[in-house]
Order: sequence, then structure tokens, then C-alpha cells
Amino acid sequence: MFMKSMHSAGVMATTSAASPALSDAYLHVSQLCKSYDGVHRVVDDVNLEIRRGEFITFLGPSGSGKTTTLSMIAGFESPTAGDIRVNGRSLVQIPVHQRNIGLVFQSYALFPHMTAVQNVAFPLRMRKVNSTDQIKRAQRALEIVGLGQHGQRMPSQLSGGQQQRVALARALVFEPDVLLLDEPLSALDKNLRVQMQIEIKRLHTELGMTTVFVTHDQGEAMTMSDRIAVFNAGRVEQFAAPLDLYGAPCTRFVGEFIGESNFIDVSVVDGAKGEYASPALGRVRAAVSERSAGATVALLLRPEWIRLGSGGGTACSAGVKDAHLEVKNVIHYGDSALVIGESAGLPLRVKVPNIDMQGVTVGSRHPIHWDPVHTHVLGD
Amino acid sequence: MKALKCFAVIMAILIGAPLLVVIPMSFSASESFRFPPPAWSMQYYSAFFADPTWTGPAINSLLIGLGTAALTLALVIPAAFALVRYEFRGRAFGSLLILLPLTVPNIVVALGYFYYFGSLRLTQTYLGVILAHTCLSTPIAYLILSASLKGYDRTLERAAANCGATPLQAFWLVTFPVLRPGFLAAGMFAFVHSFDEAIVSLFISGRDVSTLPRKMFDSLRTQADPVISVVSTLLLALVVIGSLTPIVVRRMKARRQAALQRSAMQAVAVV
Repeated sequence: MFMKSMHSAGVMATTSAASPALSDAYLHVSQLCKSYDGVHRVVDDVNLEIRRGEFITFLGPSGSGKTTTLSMIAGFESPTAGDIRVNGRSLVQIPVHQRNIGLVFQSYALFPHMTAVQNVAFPLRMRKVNSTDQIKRAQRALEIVGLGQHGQRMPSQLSGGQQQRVALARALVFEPDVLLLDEPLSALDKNLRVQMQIEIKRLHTELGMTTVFVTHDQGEAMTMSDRIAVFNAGRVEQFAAPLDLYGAPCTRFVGEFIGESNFIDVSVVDGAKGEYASPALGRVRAAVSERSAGATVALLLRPEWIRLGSGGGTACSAGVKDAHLEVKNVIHYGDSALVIGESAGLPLRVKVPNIDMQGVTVGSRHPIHWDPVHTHVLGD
Repeated sequence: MKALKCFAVIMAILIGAPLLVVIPMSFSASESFRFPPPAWSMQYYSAFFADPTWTGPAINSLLIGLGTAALTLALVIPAAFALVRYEFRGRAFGSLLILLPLTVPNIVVALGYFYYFGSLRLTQTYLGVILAHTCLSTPIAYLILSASLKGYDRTLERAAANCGATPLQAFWLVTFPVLRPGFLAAGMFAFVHSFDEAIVSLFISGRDVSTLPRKMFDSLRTQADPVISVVSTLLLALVVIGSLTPIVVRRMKARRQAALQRSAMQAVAVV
């Protein structure tokens, strides 16, 4: 489950151990660049190989280039350099209306002067399908998204969630090669969002469409995706399955962006034995590393990998010897609590199951330990 | 809230009452403005339709109104698209320039046109009145259209392209239908404004190109004829029909769509 330390030097796009062969790639983005002024690159050398039927998420903060990359796949922006291929065919010279790609916009973009069923039938109309088949297929698409009874309504008469589903039906009705979703759930309230996540995932399983989903919400990305491409400042920092990203991030950015994290800067004492020296905590033990003695690395410890207590054994198994956490703040979640504190001045967050919360209050002091195997070493 | 409703009803009555006087007056049998009319007759209606000094101006106003609407739209549509959608130097100045005629009082404009069009020999011509009315209605028609354009979501055109529409198809099937109410509103405003316009018409339309408001004004001064109430009633009827037509059309369309939808649902259910 927890991978041994990965030594990728930070900024290249990587795939997890089971990376697809070049010939498997259904949607292939290679060396994609985009710059508006010739100086600053909004998208900087993005490489992605996406298999047929995969559910991929582009995850990152605003301005990270994820939406621009999606725009280029859809055809609304043209790349400054690089190529995009679907099923072997290069898309870069093909205009938007000939790309056969389904897109769900963040604002849904339903045609306000047409009914729901007319909206969904529009792509079929553009493809010269005859009118009875248009209505039939559109009606069926609406039923797949659960709106079979609402075909006659105008978009203004539909709720946000319903409009979203119509947009989804319209993107799916013509069975596109690829389905793109541009932050489609950001305008919905929490309950509806969770519902729609399940819907979209169900549709994906049923229809097996190659899907690219853009979001800035890491929770959403983690629950829905086969693989996630984490964008930062125009580059893909890591492209891997959710659990690989969580347990073995390539860079500090990925480690911090996904889930809670503790980073401890250490210098390597003996990499093969997993011994490191921390200015704050002294001698610590963590996962083995190939870095040579004296190198500076960062240890990633997820809050749930740190335990309260002395670990009942020697420093070998305890990860760290005689370290104590001074509790500054406690956030209760019911089943667990996030204990925020400091250890010798080093800020740490520890996730504690509620059964171990006896006596843990603001100002209390507790020994901490971790299992060296369950850590992750980040090359600097 | 009940007090507010009462107030609204009273206001409606106060505003509507003059109209209610006009309608029965048009069916009056008497020779003067007696209200209530002593007897009923269609004499003024037949007088109106038989009299070319009334029907002439009525048709003139119609023609001039349509001409004004067409010319206004021809100017305002490109202006609005350019000023709303494109970034260029002088953009703010351009929209200011279009709105400038609003700042000048009508009587000053009328006088100005009288002298200027006079020297151009454009007084007492259809073209002259249409040009003058267009200048007057352009600012507000521009405001109406640019508001409609600003509220238009350009992602719709992207969505249409993504669905497979060529740029031409996208404009014709998506952009134009969505903006059509704005176009119509601007055009209708120009028409109504021109139809109603009395002051400038008084100055620059002659007897040949006399407009209806001008004729009504003259008639009130010289004849005190209840035929005027016929004109008012006819105009009122036109407005009512014009307002109800889109509602009726929309209902019919909705009914047709519902029938289509029902048959589609049945077709799918059978499958």
C-alpha cells in the first residue's frame, strides 16, 4: 500500500508503476505548451497518456493551467507547442465543431430558447440525424440522467442540478470519443454535489467513456478518479492514482495540496538504514532512501501516521525518541480529532482516533511516535 | 400588503380612466366633446376612414415609423456589437457619442433640424423626418440593445461549436434567437418613439408628409373634432393587440411542443 520512496526529481510528469504503454494511450497529450505573451507559459510542457475508458481528473489551484489544458483539448485555445491525439488522430488542426468531444461547461451553457429535449438533441441535429431519431435518442439520454419527465421544460424552469444533468445528457447523447467536464459541480451545494459525483461516476461505469474532469477540490478528485494529474504553475507535478498521490507524493506541493501533511526537513545520516537527523527532533527513523549522507530531504508524515504514546519499544520502531507534542488546538470530528501542536518548535498535526483522546486537551503534553515504514521521503 | 394592492388598483384606475373616456367618445353621435355621449353612432369612424387628411398622416406615420426602426437598427446593431465585444481605443468615447443626443431638449433639436434640413432641402420629405427621428431614437435603442448584448453569455456560442455547429450555424441557431428579443425591443422602441413624436414633426414635416401627431395637434387647435377620439381608440387597440400577440403565439408553441414531447415519450416507452 505504501510505496517505497520514489526519487523522481520533482517536476517531471510521472505515472505510477503500472504506466500504460504508448500504444495504449487513447488520449495522448505530448509536450503541450501555451503562452499568451511569449514570455510567461500558462501551460508548460504537459505530457499525459490517458487510457481508453479511464476517469482522469485535472486537479490544481486557480491559474495552474488545468482549465487551459482542457480548453486546448476541446479546441477553444490552440497550443503554442505540442500535440493532442485522440485514438492516434492529431486534433490540433481540427476546428472545435469537428472534434467529436463532449464538454460540460461550468455554467452549463444550456441554450435558453430551447427546451431541455431540444438542447440535448442539438448535437444530433448538427450531425444530420433525422428528427424522429433526434427526439428519441435525446429522450433516452434524458432518462439516463434521470430527467425523462422534464424534457419539455425550458432551462430557466429547471434547478441548478437539473440543468447540470441536461448539460451532461447533451454532452453524452452523440457518444463522443472523450468527455470533458470543466468544474461542473462548483456551483452546487454540498448535498447536491455529492449526489452528482455519484451520478457521474455511475454514468462513467455504465458507459465506459474516457473522461477528463477538472476541479480544484481535492476531495472530489480523490473519490472519483482512476488517476489524478496535479497541476501547479502550468506543469503536471504528478500523474498517478489517488492513493499513490496520497501515500507517495513526488513533490512538496502535491503532498500539501492533497490531504493534511506534516513535513520534517532532515539531513540524511544513513539512507539505507533509514536514519535521518532533524534539527528539532534529533535522530529520527523513516523509510529507506537512496540519497547519500548529508543530503537534505523532507519527510512526509500524514497526520494519521503519527501516534500518541511512546510506542512501547526502542527508538528503532518508534520512529523518534523522546519526542513530545505540546497541544495547541484540538479539532473534533466525532470519530477522530485533529490535534494541532508543536514538538520542539516544529509544528505537527496528529490525527487521533476518539478512543485515544483521553486526557488530550489544549496545553497537555504527550509523547509521539511513528512506524518508520509508514513515512515518505521527498527528495529536495 | 393589502394597502399596497388597494393603492395599485387606485393608481391603475387613475391612469386608465382617461382611456376609458376616449373609447365611448369615439362612438359619440354628438357634434362636440360632450361626455357622456348623448347617443351612439359610428359616424366618426366612417369620417376617419373616409377622410384622406386623416388616413394620409396615419399611413405616413406608419411608414416613417418603420423606416426609422429599420435605420435605427441598421446603425445600432453594428455599433452595439463593436462597442460591447471588442477592445479598442476610443471605445468609451464612442458610446458617449452615441448617447449625446439625449442631452439636448427636443424643441432645440426641432429648431436645429428646421434650419439645417431647410438648407439641405430635406424638410417636408420622408427622408428628412426619418433621419431626424432616427437620431432621436438611436441613443435609447443603443442602450436597450447593448444591455441585451452585455447580458448574453458567450459560452453559448462555444457550447454550440462544441455540439458540432459551424460558426454560421451557431449564429443563426443560437446567437440570433437569443438576442432577438433585444433586437425587437430596440426596433419597437424606435417605431413607437417615431410614431409618437410630435415636436420635430411639427417643424420639419410639411402638409404632404404630415404625421399623425401633427395632424392631431392641428385638429385640436382648429376643429375640436371628436374624430380625435377615434384615432386614440384605434391606437389603443393596436397596442393591446400588439401586446397580446406574443403571449398567444408563445402559448400555441408550448402546446405544440408538449404534444411532440408526449409522442416522443410514448415512442421511448414502447421501446
